[in-house]
Amino acid sequence: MNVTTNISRRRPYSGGVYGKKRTTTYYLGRISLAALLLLVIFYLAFPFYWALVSALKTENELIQPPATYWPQTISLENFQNVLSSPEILRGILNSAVVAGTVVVLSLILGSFSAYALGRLHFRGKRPILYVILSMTLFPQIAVLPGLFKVIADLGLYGNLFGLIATYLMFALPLTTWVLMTFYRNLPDEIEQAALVDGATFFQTFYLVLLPLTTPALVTTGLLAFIAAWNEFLFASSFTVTNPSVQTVTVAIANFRGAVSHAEPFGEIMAATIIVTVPLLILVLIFQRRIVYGLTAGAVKG
Amino acid sequence: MTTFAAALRDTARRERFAHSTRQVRLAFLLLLPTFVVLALVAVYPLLRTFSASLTDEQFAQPGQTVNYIGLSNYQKLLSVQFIELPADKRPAQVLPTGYYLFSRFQFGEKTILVAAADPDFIHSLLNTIAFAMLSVGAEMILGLGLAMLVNVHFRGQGMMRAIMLIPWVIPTVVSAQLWKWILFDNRAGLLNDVLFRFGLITQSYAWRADPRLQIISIALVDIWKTTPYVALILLAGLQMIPRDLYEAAAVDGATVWERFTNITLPSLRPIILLALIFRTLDALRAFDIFAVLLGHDVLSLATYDQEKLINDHTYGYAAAVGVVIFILIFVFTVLYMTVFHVDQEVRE
Repeated sequence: MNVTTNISRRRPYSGGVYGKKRTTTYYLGRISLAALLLLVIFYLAFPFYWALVSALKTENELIQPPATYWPQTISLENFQNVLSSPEILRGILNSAVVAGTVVVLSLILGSFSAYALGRLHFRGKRPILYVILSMTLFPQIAVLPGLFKVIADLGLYGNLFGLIATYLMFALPLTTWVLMTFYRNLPDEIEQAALVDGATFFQTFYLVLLPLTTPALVTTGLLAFIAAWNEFLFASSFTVTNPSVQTVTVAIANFRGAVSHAEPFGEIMAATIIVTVPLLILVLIFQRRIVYGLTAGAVKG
Repeated sequence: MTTFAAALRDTARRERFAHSTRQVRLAFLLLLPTFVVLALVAVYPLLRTFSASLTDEQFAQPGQTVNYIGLSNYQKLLSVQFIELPADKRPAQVLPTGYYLFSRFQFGEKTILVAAADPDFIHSLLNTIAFAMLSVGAEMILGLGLAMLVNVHFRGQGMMRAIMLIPWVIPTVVSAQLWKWILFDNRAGLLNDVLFRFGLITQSYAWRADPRLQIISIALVDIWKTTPYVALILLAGLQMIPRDLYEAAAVDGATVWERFTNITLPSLRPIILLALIFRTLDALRAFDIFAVLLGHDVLSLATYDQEKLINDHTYGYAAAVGVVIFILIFVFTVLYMTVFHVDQEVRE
């Protein structure tokens, strides 16, 4: 008992060869590590601080060089303008509908195919895996011209269903691949036990495997959501004729502000902050899962 | 006795067979919806792109006659000629018909003209390759450094990973808009002001308008956005290297550098290559960052393709550009795979 608590209380190995020795070199190492980390954090985070500060400035202060690092007068006008801009609000709504639907569809279809690829034995699995993997690397732009025709033939041009269908092109291979790595890591005994108990394949799938992989579904769903939410090429190509279905990325790229002048950076920065905050919260909550999902396909599971 | 054993074996085999055919049928059923969807939104459009690239089809022109023109589109895209300019002539006098001046350079005494049938395409190709080399090179080196930094144990590692995720999670369009403002061309722009305050520049630069700086500027944005992502991928690889290896090497008196080159790099090789492939392919198809930051001034292959399709309505021609991008990316993938034998090391 004592032994175990002792072990669990031991500090984790602190890296380097210095081990537990508290020499000057050790402290110098820790201090330079901290300094470097702070530098990195500063580099990664400062643009967001800059966006926030810029959004809070008045138009005059914003465009007056040299730049100020804290607003002289804090103005919420930019935020008010963005939040009352129909393009941005409609964009957020459209993106939510599109990304949400894409996540649901690709999780359903993707968990089917991931189960087949991760758990079942059949010939020709490897080529199928390679085709699906290669599709995650597909240059969407190469498909764009042909896709225009397909979407037009299906009568989906300039509406949200068209976008949803085209997004499956990258979301479905992604969910299939990531879910497959999860399925493959489950022990074989699980299904065998269920089969012995007389469950059919589908019962095993729905009642045993699916609940077990709920965390995987959350992770994969998040990745698919982010990919769909951030998509711009298809969104900007397929909504040209119908601005009412523009997604948020198109709205932000084309944003010209409430007052029309060249580039209303204050409002654009406010829009940037508004779009960033929900994603920021997602990342802070699901950091571990997202990182795991991102690397699950890359590192041997 | 023997017949009984044989019968038993036979039954077992038949059961195994039944089991496996059932599995195959189930696998087929489960894969079918994915196949249908991907065939419809990926494979079929790709084939249509291929076939349209052999025609002079115009986009959104009902009632037109579409002609099969063979490889003419590709010919136009890829035609480049080097022509010597005689001292007494002007470029316009020596350019072959259908060719436009792309650039010129001195070769000893001679002036050589570079002529292309579609200079805009060649520009977009070179822009894309320059962008890919700059950004991917920097991201791999900085990403490895960052991964090793974060791999050291310290409190708040999870928080650090979350911070590293943020630039990746923000839509490229949004980060491009953000940087558009940072790169603003006077000291109202952050980059100019910071460099000025540190005494690194004496006058402001037009980061997005100056032709010498444009590609560097967008590479800067891409590096900011993607280095942490590369680092996270490499970090996952680093965390799989057993600690004892380093300790043993340290006991044997290996220096930090020796440990890096003899343990870290070889162990990470497959995942470094994987990240390299992902990043290169992403950079070669870069669209968002070019579209937002450089607009119609400086094109990448992808923005050029979209412009041909949506602005110029040259459907067949745009399709040919798409196929060229596809082939380029395919060649890069195969090249990486064969040079480094990635397929055997990664994935199973």
